[in-house]
Parts: sequence; structure tokens; C-alpha cells
Amino acid sequence: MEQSNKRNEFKRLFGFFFENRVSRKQKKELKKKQKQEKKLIEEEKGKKKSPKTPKKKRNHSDKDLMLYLWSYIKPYKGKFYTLAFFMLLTVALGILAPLFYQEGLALVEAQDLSPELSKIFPFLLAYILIVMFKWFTEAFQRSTAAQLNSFISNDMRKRVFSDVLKNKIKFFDNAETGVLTGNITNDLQELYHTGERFVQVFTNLVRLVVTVAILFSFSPRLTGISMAFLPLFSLVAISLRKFSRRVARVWRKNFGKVNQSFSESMRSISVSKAFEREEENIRRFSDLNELTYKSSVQRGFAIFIMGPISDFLRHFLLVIILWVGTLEYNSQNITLAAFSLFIIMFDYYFYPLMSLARHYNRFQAMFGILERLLESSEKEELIEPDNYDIKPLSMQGDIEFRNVDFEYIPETPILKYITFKAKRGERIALVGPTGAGKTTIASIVMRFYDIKGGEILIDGKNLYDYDLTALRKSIGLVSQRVLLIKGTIRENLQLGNETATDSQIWEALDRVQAREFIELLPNGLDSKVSEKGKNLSAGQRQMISFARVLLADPKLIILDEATSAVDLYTEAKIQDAIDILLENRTSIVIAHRLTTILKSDLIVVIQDGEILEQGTHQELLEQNGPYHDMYNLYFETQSAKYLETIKTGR
Amino acid sequence: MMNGRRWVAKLAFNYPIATTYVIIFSLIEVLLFILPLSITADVIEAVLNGAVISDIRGKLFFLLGLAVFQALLFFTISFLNEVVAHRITTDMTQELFESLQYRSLTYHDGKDVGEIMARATGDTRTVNIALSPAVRIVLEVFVLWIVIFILTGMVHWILLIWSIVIFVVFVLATIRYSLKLVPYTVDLRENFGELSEITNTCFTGVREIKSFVSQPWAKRRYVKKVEKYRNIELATGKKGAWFYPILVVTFFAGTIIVSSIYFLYQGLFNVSFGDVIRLASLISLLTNMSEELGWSMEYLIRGNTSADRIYAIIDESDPGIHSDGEVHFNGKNATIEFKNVSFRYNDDLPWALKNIKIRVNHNQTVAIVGSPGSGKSTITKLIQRLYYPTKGDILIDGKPIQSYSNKSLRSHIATVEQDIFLFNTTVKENIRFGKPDASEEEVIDAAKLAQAHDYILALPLGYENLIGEGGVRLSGGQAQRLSIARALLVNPSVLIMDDGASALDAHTEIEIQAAISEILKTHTTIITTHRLSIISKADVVIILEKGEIVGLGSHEYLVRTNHFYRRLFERHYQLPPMEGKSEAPLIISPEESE
Repeated sequence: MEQSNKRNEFKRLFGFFFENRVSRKQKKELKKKQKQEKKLIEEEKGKKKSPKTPKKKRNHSDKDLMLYLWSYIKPYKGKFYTLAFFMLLTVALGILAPLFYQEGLALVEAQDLSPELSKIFPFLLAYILIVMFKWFTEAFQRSTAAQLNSFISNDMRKRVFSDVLKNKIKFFDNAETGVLTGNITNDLQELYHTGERFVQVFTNLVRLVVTVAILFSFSPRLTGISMAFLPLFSLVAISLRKFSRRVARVWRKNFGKVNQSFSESMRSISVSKAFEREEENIRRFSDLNELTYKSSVQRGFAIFIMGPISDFLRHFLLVIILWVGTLEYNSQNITLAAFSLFIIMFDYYFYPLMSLARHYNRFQAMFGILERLLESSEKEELIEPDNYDIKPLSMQGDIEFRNVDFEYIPETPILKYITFKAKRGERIALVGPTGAGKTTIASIVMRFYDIKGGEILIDGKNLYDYDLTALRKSIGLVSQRVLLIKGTIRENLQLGNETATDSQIWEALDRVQAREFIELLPNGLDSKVSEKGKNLSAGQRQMISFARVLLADPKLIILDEATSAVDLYTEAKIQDAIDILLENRTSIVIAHRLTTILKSDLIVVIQDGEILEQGTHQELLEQNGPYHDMYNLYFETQSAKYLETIKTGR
Repeated sequence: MMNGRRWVAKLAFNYPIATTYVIIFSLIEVLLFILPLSITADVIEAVLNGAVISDIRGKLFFLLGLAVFQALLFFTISFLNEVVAHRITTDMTQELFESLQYRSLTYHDGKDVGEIMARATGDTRTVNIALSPAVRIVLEVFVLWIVIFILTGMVHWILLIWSIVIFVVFVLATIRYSLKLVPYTVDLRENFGELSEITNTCFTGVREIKSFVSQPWAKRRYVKKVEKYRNIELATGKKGAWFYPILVVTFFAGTIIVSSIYFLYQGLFNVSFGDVIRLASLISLLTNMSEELGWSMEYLIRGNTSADRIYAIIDESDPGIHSDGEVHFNGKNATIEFKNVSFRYNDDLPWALKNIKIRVNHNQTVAIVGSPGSGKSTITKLIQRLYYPTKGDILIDGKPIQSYSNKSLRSHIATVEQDIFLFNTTVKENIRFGKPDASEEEVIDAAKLAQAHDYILALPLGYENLIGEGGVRLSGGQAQRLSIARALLVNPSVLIMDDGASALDAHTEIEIQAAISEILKTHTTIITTHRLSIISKADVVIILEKGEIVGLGSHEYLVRTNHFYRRLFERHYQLPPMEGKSEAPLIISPEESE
């Protein structure tokens, strides 16, 4: 029993080490397969997106990046110099203390036969005072460093955020939002920690130089010989660091997988119960969990191998010092007190180099981070004007497309010869299959992208002759996905108009029939909206986005009708709200519903970036063209008449 | 009573050999640490007394050998400590996961996934760091102090008392300091999460922000969050910089070193040159290690709270627990009968269903319609036995639903849920969800039946294509058909469809209708829907309003007689004229007349 228990413990702890040993070949095959899949997916993505530029080297010299960093340090020059001062002071005190200690020992060594307190007392007192004082300067140094670090990294955060927002949509198309968010949060967090380490390592290096200089004055040979081994030590540390980075990457990935699987399983618990999946879920989760255990242990190995090795090297260095020191003492080149000083101070040059070696990659990475931050904001051709205070245009709302051509990537036309016209207050419905270019039309009216050919006229004037900011302020875009931030309902509504008063807000809510649901919330307008508005229903989110547009009061509205799942009641409310929203405004609607289409003044049927036909519902039906077919095939399913045919068909 | 700490200890002693090894040898290792210091002191002393290199060579080689041994020992301890810590947290995660899997839906309804995830991820990490290396460091520092007691005591008892006093002050100060620091670090972490969230939201919603020209709005919100974060970071940084217990130790170290030199100088208490060196190096080791105690203590305190938080979930009682029945449901006669069923989700909540009486015969199709919150989904959930009726009985094949075994019930009742949940894995795996060992053919057959086969084949990797992050995004209609295939694969005799979508684009609508129509013929189907085309195929339509049945009958009949029914559709469809109030026998609710 005891025996089997022991084996069991061993198996639980290290069993993974012996599993799957045979299946190395399988592993290879699996990897190959994964690679293929990845490639395929990437190819698929590549078709939609512009081709990625190959991995490049850094575009900026270290000097540029340091200057960039300096531009952030500059406002805190005072703190910066304070830090430098305290750092030097700490180093000086740190070296002074052992010197007094050495002086004390030297007195003892001199074998003074008439010991007098007054002789040794100053040294001892000085030693204690210096050691205590050093603690204060060190704490000051740490505190200043933390502050400076925090100010700088958060200033960068703010600046980079606002710079990124200034970029054109094209920038966001090419950059993944996840990566962008990573830059501005995790990268800057990393920069903060690097800053901490940097101060540490830099302090150590200064101390190293001073220590070596002092020790050199006591014994050049002992210093020289013991220093000779240090590069070797650093090399060991650097090579270990590489290994640990690789292992850490695997660990992070697996840890992420477990978490994802856990949360997925929690969110889908009712499905699992319905399909009686509990056991299977546990089995699968256990596999993942064990896999993570394995990589955790590997990562632990990489981390905890450092300590013993460094310890051994340190003792090795100690032996060298003792060896050479004895020889030197015997040949009367140094005093015993000086010899002791070496033993006290050799850590001062052992640890700095070890820590430099350990953190070397981190400092390298810092340059990478700085460059990414710099690049997120410096591309002139991608920057839009930021005159956010400008007044909206006083426009009539006539809009006309004249032979508009557009392409995201050269030679891949998305829109071809798009021509249509709407007078003030008219509603245009864009109809067509997914990928026809409907959303693109919305984007180019907002001037998210520049057109390639043709003209877009608003009130008879070229779209590109208007001030960009003023233009956007006069056009409302209601997209399918509603942007909601964690905050109050009011805050989220003020996105449309920051100066809107409560009575204006309530009026807007009234008009879209959203007053009721907000009044029912515990704190009314001050009720919290949770992350991405998860505590609101799809219908409620829609209402908020409509109220927002009303608050902005644009002359022209572009509406991307939502296809999200709502019940018939909400549906009816949304339809009413849309009617109110579009009342007296020119509108371009990307329509999915028959009711919306029927209410339009002009229906534009688009396919593959071209207009197939346009006209009113009646006109188009009579033309017997693509709209007619589409109507029969799809839209009729939504009308009651169609029911009878199904009935008889059964 | 069990708490987090005891639970962790229990898990640790599932691995008694490793745990004991780590504890005992980490104590021994600290003692070994003293050897090199001692040897160094001896060497210096010997040299002072005129030793030459040949005299001390042996000692130096011993020191080198010791260094190798010590490094090995140190490694086995720290690594094994890490292994055990990971084993424990892995076991913790597993136990947490398993305990949650078997909880009832009533339990899960009251739980926030984010809350649970915070415990599964953040808290386990904290416990992990607390176990390795925080506990070990704390242990080692304590042993080191004991060594200091012995060494100082050997010089003079006053020094021993002095060390003990300092030790007590130091420990108390450290605990006080750590307790104060913990809230800061926790706060910092939470705010960092918020920062990431707002950044991500603003960047994903950049089109909307730009279209409203609300960059100033976004910036202001963002800056507010950044400044809040920065202020906490500043406060934490400052607090962290002033780890004052170390000042006490520094002062202590100074006094011990100084007094030992003084004793040597005065020739008191037989203090030798070597003693001074030994004490000095040991004390500087102690100061260095005590600095580690700052964050170790912090993690120990946080780890304790975290373990409590995780254990609290495992220990929680399940309000909706029921024992499993024994009757095997064979699905041959899938009739379902509700006998005066009333239900509420929770004693504090209003009735979700009131006195429901319905009967669904084998292979019949029942459509349930009603406004949101009328109880449609609740009926479907009761049939799946995800909840038990509060009052009344649900009979399946004439026997109460409670009497069946979970396994047999679930294998004959399949669901297409309203909020379709697809897993971040391949298409095939998603379809196989309810029957993990299904063959390739079965999967394809189910997909064909659900009209999903064609679009799946059009994906770059077909059935092996990933869904969700890193794979394709499916449209609403595609997802629904996949979910239908998933339900069909288990070959159920009862099919429940919670069909919430109303406004899919027309093309999708057609495809889904085709998929559903096929299935209705061969299964007992309960479907909640607003698609008229589906409703018209149902044998019976049930209209629910506020948890009560307000209409029952065929579509043709209801559309002409029931104003609840008409109200649902009149906004969207052209309905035939109302045919007055015919007192039809099928209408159960008296509220119908109005």
C-alpha cells in the first residue's frame, strides 16, 4: 500500500515526463498539420487584407529611441536629477560603509596594545550611521524611481492613445486591435518594470566601477584575477535566459488555453447540461490542465536552475579570492583587513554582472517597445486633422455619387461607377448580398477612405472640399456593432454630444422609446453599463445608439441595419425608432428588412461593387430584373402570403 | 472547519514525500549556507596566524566541493518546491472545475462567469507564488534568524536578547507592512484590467468614435482611467519603496558588526578575528534575505485570501440539487404532458410559469409564441430537466420526469438553444459535442440534414476548420444550422428549438426554414419561434403571456380569433381579418375575452 502510494506520488508529479515519449513522430506530424492549417488560414486572411510586409529590422537608431524616451523624461527633469543624485549617494554610502569597517579591522590588526575607545569609536559610529543613512537614501531612490517610472509610462500611454486615435482608419485596418491594445497596456507595463530594473542595474554598474577602482587600489592582482572570470559567468547567464524565454512562451500559451477552456465551459454550462457533457468536459479540461502543468514545471525548471548556478559561480569566485588573497597576504602585498574587504565586497561586482546578463534581453526588448510606440503615431500620411472643436456644417443634405470608383488594394476594385442621387430628406436603401460593397459606400461617405475616381457631392460641393472634422460632425453613422464603454448610461450617450444636458438626453430617449427601460434601471442615467454593454439586451443597445445619433443631430444619416436576434416586440420598437431617426434627414440605409426597403424613396441594388439597378419598389418590380428575383426568393418569406404556399406544400 | 489554508495543506500532503523533502531540506540548506561563511572566516583566521597556501588548500577544495553539493541541493529543493506548487494549483483548478461542472443550473444562474474566472486564473497564480517560493523564503529567513540567535548567544547573552527583540519587532513590522500593502497591489491589478478594457473598446469602436468626432470624449474617458491607475501605481510604488522593517534589521546588523569589532579590539569574550568575519558575513546575508521577506509576506497573505476565495466556491452549497432517477427512457413514445405546472427560478422571483397544462404527442410539433419574458424558454428548460417544476408534474411517456435517469433523458432530448454557443475548435468537434465518439459519416449526415454540409465544405479546411478566434466567423444562420446539426447528431426523439432570431437576412432565412422543415416530420418538437413559416407547420400553437397560456390551437384558427396572437404579428405581416370572438373549445385562458 505504502509502496504504491509512493509510486503514485511520483507519477503524479513527474509522470508527464515519461508519457508521449514514443509519439515523437506523431508530434512532428501534428506540428506539420498545424502549420498547414495556419498557412491556409493566413492565406485566407491574406486574400482579404493587404499583403503583410515581411519582418523588418528596426527603422530607428538607438539614439533616436533614446531621444524619444528623453522627450518623456524631460518634463520630470527635477525628479530625474533627484533620482540620479540619490542613486550616486546610495552607491557612495554603500561603498563607504565597508571602508570604515575595513579601517576598524585595520586598527585591530595593527595589534594596538593600549586599546583606546576614542581611536576606534569614530569608525564604528560612522559605520552605523552610514548604514542607516544609506537605507533612507535607497528608499528615496526607489520611491523617486517608481514615481518617475509611473509618470513616464502613463504619459506615454495617454500620448500614444491620442496619437493612435488620430490615425486614419487605414491604420486600424492594418493593425490588429488586440496588438494595439497590447502595445499601449502590456508593453507600457513592461516598460515600467524595465525602468525599475534599469535603475537597479545601472546603480549596480556604477557601484561595480567604483568598487573595482577601490579594490584595485588595495590589490591590483587580486582584483584582476577575480575579474577575469566574470565574462564567463555572464555568458552562462545569457544562454540560460534564452532557454527560459522559450519555455515561458510555451507556458503562457498553455496557461491561456486552460483559462479559455475554463471560461468557455462556464459560459456554455447549459449546453453542456443539455447534452450531458460534464464527464467529457472534465476529461478534456483535465488533459489541458495537465499539459499546462507540464509546461509550468518546465518553466519552473528554467527559473530555478538560475539560482543554484549563480550560487555555485559565486562560491567559485570566493575560492579564487581566498586562494589568491592568501598568496598575496603571504607575500605581504595586502593587509588582512583589505583581504576581508574583498570578501565583503566581492558581491558588489559579482551580482551586477549577473543581473545585467539576466536582464540584458529586457533592455533589448525595451528598444523594441519604444520603437513600436514611436511608430504607432508617426506616419504623417496616416494622420487626420485634430481640430475637434470645429462647428458642424450647416448643410441641406443633398448627396450625389458620380461614377465613384474605389479600391482598398490597388488593382482590386471594390466599387465601380457608383452613381446615385438623393435629395434632402430622402431615404436610399442599399440592397445586395454580403460583400457587395454596401458597407464600403458608408465608409467612403464618412471619408474613412479616399475614393479612386469619380466624385461625391454634398449640396453640390465635392466631399473632399469640406473640412473633414466638420463633415463628420454633420453625418451620423449608425453601425451594427454598438460601441459601449464601461461607465454610466449618461457617459455612453454623451459620446454623441458631450455637452448634452439631461433634459436633452431624456428627450432623445423619449423619441426612440427608450425612456421606459432606462427609468426602470436602479439609477436611471447613472446606471452602470458593464463591459461592452453586456448587461443590456441587443435591442437596448440599439436604442442607445439611436439616441446617441439624435443627440448629435446630423443632417445626413448612414444606417447599417442590425441583423441581430431580437424578438418581434423589440423589432417593432426598433422600426419605429428608425423612422423617427430618419425623419427629415437624408439617409443611406444598408437594409436587411423588407419593411425598411419598402419605405425607401430609392432602392439601389448592388452586387460585386456595381449597381445592377435602381428605382422605387414598384419600378424595380416592374423591371423584372434582379430585384424582382431577390424579392420573390427572399423577401417574400417574410410576408404572410408566402405562408399559404408552404402550407399546401406540406 | 475547513478553510482555504487547510485545503491547500491537505492537497500538499497528497504528495507527502516531496512536501516533506522540501520543508526539511530547505531548513538544512540554510544551515549549509553558513558553512562557506565559516570556512572563509577560518581561512582568514588561519592566514592571520601565519598559514600558507598549502595549509588551506584542503579547505578551499572542500569549499568548492561543498559549493557543488549545495548547488545541487538548492536546485532539488527549489525545483521540487515549484513542482509541488504547480501540482497543487493544478489540482485546485481541476477540483474547482469539476465541482462547477456538476452544479445545477439554478446555481450557475446566480454566478458571474467573470468572478469565477478571476478565481480560476488570478487566484490560482497567487497561491502558486505563495507556495513557491514565498513560503520557502519565509521559512529560510526564520531559520537564518535562529542561526543568528545561536551565534550571538555564543558571544554574550545580552546580544542574544538583543537579537530576539529585534526579531520580534521585525516580524511584527513586516506583517503590518504587508497587510497594508496588499490592498494597493490588488487595486492596481484590477485597475489595470479596466485600462486594457477601455483601450480595447475604443480601438475596436474607432469608426464610431471617428464618425461622431468624439475623440475628445474618448480621450477624456481614457485619461480619467489612466490617471486613476497612475495614482494607485504611484501610491503602491511609494509604499513599496519604504519597506521600513528592513531599517530595523539594518540597524541591528550595524550594532552587531560594530560591537563584535569592538569586542575584538578590546579583547572581550574571546572574540576572534574569524568570529568578526563570520558574524559580519552572516549578518549581511540576513539583511539581504530579509529584504525578500517583504514581497514574500505580501504573497503569503494574498495567497491565503486567494485560497479562501477558491475554496469558498468549492465549498458552496447548490440550491438546485436533485437526485437522479432510475427509470430508463427509451424514446419510443415521446409524449410530454404538463400537469398544472408552475415554476419560479428562485423563491424571491415572481412565477415564471403559472398552472401550465399541455400535452404533446409523439412526433407532434408544438410552437410556442409570446412576448419576451413570457416563459417560452422556461418551458423548454423544464422539458430538458435543467430545472424541476416548483408545483405540478411533468410526465414523459406517462411517468414523472423526476423518475428518469439523467443519462437516458439527455440522450433522447436534444436542444438548439437561443444563444448559440459554439466552441473555439473545429467544425467537426462542435457538431460532435453531444456525442464525442461519433463517426465521420454520422457527422456529415447530421450536417446534411441541417443544411450545413455545403457551406462547411466551402470553408478552407472543411470540417476541420476552426471556428471563432483564429478561425472563421460564422454568420448567424450558419451558426444556427451548425447547432441544429449538433442536436441531430445525438438522434433524439424529442427536439427542442429555442429560436430567438427574427431578423436574419433573407437568404439565411430561407436556408434555416429548409433545415427545420425536414426535421419537424420525424421528431417530437417543441419550438419557440416567430417565424410564421415554421409556426404554420406546427400541429399546435401555444401563446404564452406572463407565464400563462392565453391561446391554443392551429395557426389558421388563432390568427383569426386570438388578439394576443394577432398583436404579435400585425406589425409585420398582413393578416386576414379578425373573425369575431368565437368561443372555441381549445382556448383555455378566460382572459381571452376583452
